[in-house]
Amino acid sequence: MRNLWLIAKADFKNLITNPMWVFYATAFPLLLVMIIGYLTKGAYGNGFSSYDYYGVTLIIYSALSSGMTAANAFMEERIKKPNMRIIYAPGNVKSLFLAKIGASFVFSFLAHIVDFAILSLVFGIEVKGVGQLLVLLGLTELFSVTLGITMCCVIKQESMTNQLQSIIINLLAVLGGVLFSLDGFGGTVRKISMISPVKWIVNAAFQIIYDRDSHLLLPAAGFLAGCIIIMTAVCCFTFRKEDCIC
Amino acid sequence: MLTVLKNNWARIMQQKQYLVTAVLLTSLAAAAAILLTNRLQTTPDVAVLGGRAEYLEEECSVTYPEKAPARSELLMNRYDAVVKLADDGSFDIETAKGDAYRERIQAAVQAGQGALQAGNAGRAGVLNDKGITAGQETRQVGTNIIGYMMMFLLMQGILYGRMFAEDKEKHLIERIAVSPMSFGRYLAGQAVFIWALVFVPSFIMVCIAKLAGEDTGFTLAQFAFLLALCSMLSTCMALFIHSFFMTADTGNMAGSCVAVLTSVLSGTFYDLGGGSSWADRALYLMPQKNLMRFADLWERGKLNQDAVTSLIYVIIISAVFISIGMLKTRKDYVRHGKRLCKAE
Repeated sequence: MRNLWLIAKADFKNLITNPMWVFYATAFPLLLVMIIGYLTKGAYGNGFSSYDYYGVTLIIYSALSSGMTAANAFMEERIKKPNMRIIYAPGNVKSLFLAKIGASFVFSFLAHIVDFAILSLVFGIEVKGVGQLLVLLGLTELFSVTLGITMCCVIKQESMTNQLQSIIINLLAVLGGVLFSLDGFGGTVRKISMISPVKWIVNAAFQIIYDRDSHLLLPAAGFLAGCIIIMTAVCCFTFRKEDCIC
Repeated sequence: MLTVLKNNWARIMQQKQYLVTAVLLTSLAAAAAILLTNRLQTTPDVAVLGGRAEYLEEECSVTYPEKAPARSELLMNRYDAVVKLADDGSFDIETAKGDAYRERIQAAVQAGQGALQAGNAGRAGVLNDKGITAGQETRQVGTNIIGYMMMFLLMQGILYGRMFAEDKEKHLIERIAVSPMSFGRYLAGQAVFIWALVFVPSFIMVCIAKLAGEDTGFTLAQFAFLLALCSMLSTCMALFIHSFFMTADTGNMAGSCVAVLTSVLSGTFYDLGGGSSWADRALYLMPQKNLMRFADLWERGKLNQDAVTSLIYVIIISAVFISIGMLKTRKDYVRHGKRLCKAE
């Protein structure tokens, strides 16, 4: 346990001192929401603003992309050597990747909460059911972070992980209507859209905020939690000490 | 140049499973683009409560749900508008889409009701000039396919530009610089490599879709040209972005961000228009926006001056990207490398 805490602390420090990651986690989502929200302002009105839509969806999108941060915290060039030292140190090797999951989760979660708070204050985004939203966002965040680490464990190479992951996430995001809503394009497209788990998350989030109704939260959260458990198991099976030797 | 190609191929073959995954995923993206765009219906969805409104059915897909749709469904565009009809002929409209849209729906409902009262059997010929969908030029299938593929094509360029980035990161490029091969040839080799890997899988997917009888809008030759153009832009952008970052990972990361942001802004998926005019005009600086305009005009068969300007702009900007990439890399590594060698 102590090992886990120590490694996680070092990882967190490493993430927060890297300007590229801090920019990616905090400024990039803000920029996305501001620019896209501004450009689509004209398409909304009457009690809804474009920020109401994009503020929520794009924060979910950023949460989904935080797997890249995790992959980097795990296998970045300059992290590889410290990793090698850790596997030679006494203690459970599993704490290595668990610590990376924890540190990147805390890092991105905090960054996105701050972002969302800023956005909702500045643009007056309607927020209700904060507790449920936080659970949903947290699980999404943990899902994507675990996905990043799992892919690292399976593929054993950070760069490919990043690329493949960003293609997968973007594909799911487009299908899930995060970058623009697909719901208005007819029944068939709506069905295709439902293939993407991202769609469930978005639907659940909007349902919580606008309908004060959380019956979609449970399936979405259950799905995410299930995936997280499965992926952690996969990590435990595929992670080998030898991969850290460089 | 061939050497670079061969060498890159050998390197990527060492990581075969990733190549396969990457090609599979990108083909999947292309397939999703084609499947999705063929099923897009852009007719407005209107939910009518408390009565029938046949007069709207001509232009909209009208549903008659039993209870009012949730607000979240309005925001997510599931319904463009909800019309609540009251018994006394008055009605109430709820929409997320702004006042102009509301007025159009209002006019349509009023006209329809008027026609009904005049015994016109619900025919809404009245809507013709001021219809709900009037003034919206929707993009056609081929342009939509290109648009949906664009972001993934750009991201692939960055992905396959990895060989170039790795050369820089691992300082191979300095060795190459002092080898007899000219730097231009080296970069050309990288460019051809990226271009081919971006172009070939996506084009194959389009061919398959065509064979499977999907509607692709353009002919295969036209598609070949457009995809070649997209791949060219993607290649040049990848080399441009990678030239600014010392490490491959940071370059990848920044590249993906740029690809996503600029593609969404350029309205490759969904036209973002409706913002202020200067912002709209500024967006025409984006090469993707110009590519979309070219494809759109071409598909409509209107190859006018606008289209040609856009096409030329895309080509020029690609040339600028690759030149800057080349100069920057040469400045950072090649000269530096030569100096190092001399000093030794």
